Amino acid sequence: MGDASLPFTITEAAAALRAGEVTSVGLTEACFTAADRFDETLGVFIKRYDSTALAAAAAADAELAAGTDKGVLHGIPLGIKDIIACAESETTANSVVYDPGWYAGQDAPVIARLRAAGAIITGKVTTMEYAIGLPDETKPYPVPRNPWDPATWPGGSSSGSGAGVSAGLFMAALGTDTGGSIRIPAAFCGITGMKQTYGLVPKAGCLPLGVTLDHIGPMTRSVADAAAMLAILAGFDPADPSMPPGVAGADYPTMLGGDLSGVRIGIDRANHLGKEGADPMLEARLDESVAALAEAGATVVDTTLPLFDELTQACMITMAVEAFAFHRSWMAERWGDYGLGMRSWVGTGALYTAADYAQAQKVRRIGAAKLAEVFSSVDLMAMPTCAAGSPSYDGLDMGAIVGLIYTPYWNPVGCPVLSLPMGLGATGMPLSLSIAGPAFADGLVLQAGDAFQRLTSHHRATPPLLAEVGA
Amino acid sequence: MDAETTVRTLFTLAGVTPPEDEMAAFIEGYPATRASLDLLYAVPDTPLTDGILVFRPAD
Amino acid sequence: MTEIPLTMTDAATALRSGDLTSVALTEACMAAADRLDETLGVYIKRYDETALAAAAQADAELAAGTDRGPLHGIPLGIKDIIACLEGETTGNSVVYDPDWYAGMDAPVVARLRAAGAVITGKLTTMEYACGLPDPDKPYPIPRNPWDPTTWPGGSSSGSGAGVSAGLFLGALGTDTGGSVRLPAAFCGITGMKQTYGLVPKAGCLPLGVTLDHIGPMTRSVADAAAMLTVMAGFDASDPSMPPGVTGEDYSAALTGDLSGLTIGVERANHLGRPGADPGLVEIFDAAVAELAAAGATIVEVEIPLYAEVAAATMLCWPVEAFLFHQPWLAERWEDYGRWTRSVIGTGALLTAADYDQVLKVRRLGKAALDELFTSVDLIVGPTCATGAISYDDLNWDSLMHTLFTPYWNSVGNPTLSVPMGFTAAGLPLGLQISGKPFADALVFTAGDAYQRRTGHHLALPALASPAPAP
Repeated sequence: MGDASLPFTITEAAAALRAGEVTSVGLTEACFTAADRFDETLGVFIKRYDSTALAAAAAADAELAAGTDKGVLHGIPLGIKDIIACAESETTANSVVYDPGWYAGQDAPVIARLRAAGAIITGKVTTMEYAIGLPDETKPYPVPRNPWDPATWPGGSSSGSGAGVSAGLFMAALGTDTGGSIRIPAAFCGITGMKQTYGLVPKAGCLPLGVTLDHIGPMTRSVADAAAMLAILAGFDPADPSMPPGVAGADYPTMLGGDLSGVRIGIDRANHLGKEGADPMLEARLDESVAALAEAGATVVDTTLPLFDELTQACMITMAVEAFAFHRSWMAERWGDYGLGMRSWVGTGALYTAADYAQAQKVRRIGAAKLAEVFSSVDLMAMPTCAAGSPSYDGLDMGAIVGLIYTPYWNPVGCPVLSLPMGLGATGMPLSLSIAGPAFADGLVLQAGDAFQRLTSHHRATPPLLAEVGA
Repeated sequence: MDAETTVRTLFTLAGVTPPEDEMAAFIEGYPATRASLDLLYAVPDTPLTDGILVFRPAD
Repeated sequence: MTEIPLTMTDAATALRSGDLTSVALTEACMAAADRLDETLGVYIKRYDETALAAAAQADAELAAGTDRGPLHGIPLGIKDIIACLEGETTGNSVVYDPDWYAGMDAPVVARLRAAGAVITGKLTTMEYACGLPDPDKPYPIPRNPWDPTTWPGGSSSGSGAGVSAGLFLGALGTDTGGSVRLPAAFCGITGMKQTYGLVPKAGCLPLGVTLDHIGPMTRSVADAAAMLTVMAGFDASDPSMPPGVTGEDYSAALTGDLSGLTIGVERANHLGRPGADPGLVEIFDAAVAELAAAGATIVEVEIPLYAEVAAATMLCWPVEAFLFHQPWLAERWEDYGRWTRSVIGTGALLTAADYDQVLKVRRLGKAALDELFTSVDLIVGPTCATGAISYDDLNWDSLMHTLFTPYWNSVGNPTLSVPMGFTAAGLPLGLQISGKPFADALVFTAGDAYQRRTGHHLALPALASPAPAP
């Protein structure tokens, strides 16, 4: 937060809570202060849950004082992307086209797990409409802005989640990722975001964009925090048929040790460097990051990902088709009620044939098999998340965004990918490193990211906005 | 619904060219295909339902 | 000439008692083919030499005390969309790649061979497992042994006709919308569409990948259970199988006793169809009565979303088939049979959103069925509304009109067809028995209990009676 005396990460806050240095009420009120101060500019919240959050914070303090310790998330304020259901209020999906009765009065399983772990839900935050598209100023929702430069897009679709963590409106957030929607805002807002293995976290109570590509994941200030959140979010729930039966997470925080000896990391430069419009500092930042990973003990080797364009296209096609299939009946009646960015993109899903879609699924399977071969010679892959930092809202369209991002490759194959800050670019905007692993290697991915954050401090940088206003 | 335009367009997209007599049969049969699909679209709750194909990442 | 035992179970006993050798059995099957195949159009390719060699080996092994189990030395036919190392797989088509899976056995065939089965050859199928026979193409027209002017059903036509007429004691078929169960019903034999994902499909040309099953076709349920025991279980080559899935010893489940089981009788969606055989209801009721007599509690049920899910099956497989055949269809449209291309071509006419809807309806239907199966153990209904269709009346509409099979492919539950009697014209009728996913053993138990009390499955078409001894 703007107040340097407050803990920066969940891990630090957990220690401070137990040391009596802060209270959950104190942390939560500091979040409210940040929201009061910045939200008009940043457009993070759709709905604040101030009174219920304070009550939950007070309860957390009482529990901790009485010796009931629910773990590292106990008493920690979080923000929730407004496509995920919370009992406090309806889920709008940042749209005027939604069913207020959907999942009304209920928590999505992930929310129930966070609450059972003692987390404080501070409210629902802005998202691209139904997790796709761009803000439409004709619609009655805040326009989310990047705390690092409010003239720029914070990334999306988990825009409010990214901006809010970056500016201290909450200590962490839930986002979703279908083609990059956790990793892109994490990258642009200078925070950490994890798209874990597909099927590891239940998606019941989350409005779908592309059902075979969607993931709900944590957005945090540090990899250690993401590991703590994932440990709570992961694990089978029968409400979600996309999960392998009996799938379980792991105690990810215990897997973080800082030593990457014996870990082989492939670096894909071929598909990630040299793009027109790339930030001039991108390659240097990547080189520094690779050096840091090597310093942590990893063996690094240049490795090219197979079928990069093909899998990226398979992601976009699958997403469009599945999104259109979901919205078809509403779009038939209420086309113009959807935002321009959302409907112009999702409408393309109507134009694919069944054979096209089936072919895209085949390409996913072929690509996954080839990628599995790569992962037999390296343990992890590392590469930039995006080609440049956050773009200006001026002239921003979907084509420009697609040209900037390297994220969609990973959704069609379901591999875990972590995005973390790797330093600032030429214009002072954050750049981001992605670390990916084979399916269910989430622990190793987090371990590598945490090792990187022990040797670097990019993740501790805060937007100038916070310093300007002062403590 | 203009079955002829639709069927011809879909076959063009598919890269397949049935001869005219067979094209006529496809066009004649298409309304029944759409009617079958309409039956399926009438099933409630489907937008929120996952498809039967479950994607599993490589183990 | 050796009389061919009716069932594998009988043959297995005779092989071990010294009353029969595999060579004699195989030769008898070959003689039956010599006598009947010109009429019945069962074989695309006979493997006489290699079959006899395998039979001789089986005899030697059995004599030496190496007993591979109930399939040892038993002649089986293979639908010609499944790869066998002896020769190419034609798909009953002029459009095929002779190098595909050349010189290799599909995993399911390898398992049958490892169990000592004798592979007698490749059998007629509807082209690529769909469509109807096309006399313009250079393949035999398959005919029903009960009345060769009628169609034996399909697409596993040669499999059904061949088992019925005794050209082999069992066969592999495949089932995407009914292609094991329909020929089983029309030919008066037993056919099992087991749970989806239980049997590996590598080395099998796909029709609709999310709906296809390779299943056993036999004279009796006991025989089908023996075959499935060998066929089932995970193989890494087939990504549609749940990792580590296993079968079980299905033969061990055949107790003959249905006490404690609740069987749902599904009349609402199965009876009263216009054009149904006049004898169907009475024969079906009699079958239900036998199940009750075996100890089951009978209740009436209605499958929710039945029409929608059945429609979903028929909309789904053409899409998947079209994707598979698209490059060939683009270049060689007329080389495909008229019926095959007219059906697969419709797969080009669904949009992606349509296909997505099909998949969603399948999931909803499956959830509703799972709910229904919390109150019953099994569900029964007729396999078809009529006996075998005459070739004069056979077209896509008359075929669709008789089928009660497609529903089960969309949900993937195990479904068995067993003979339950005859129409007034002497054509077989089939009974479908369906169970919960992976409750294949229970489905077999019910079918076997029924067959212990009835003899429809042991009836032989007149054509198949052994020629008088010289």
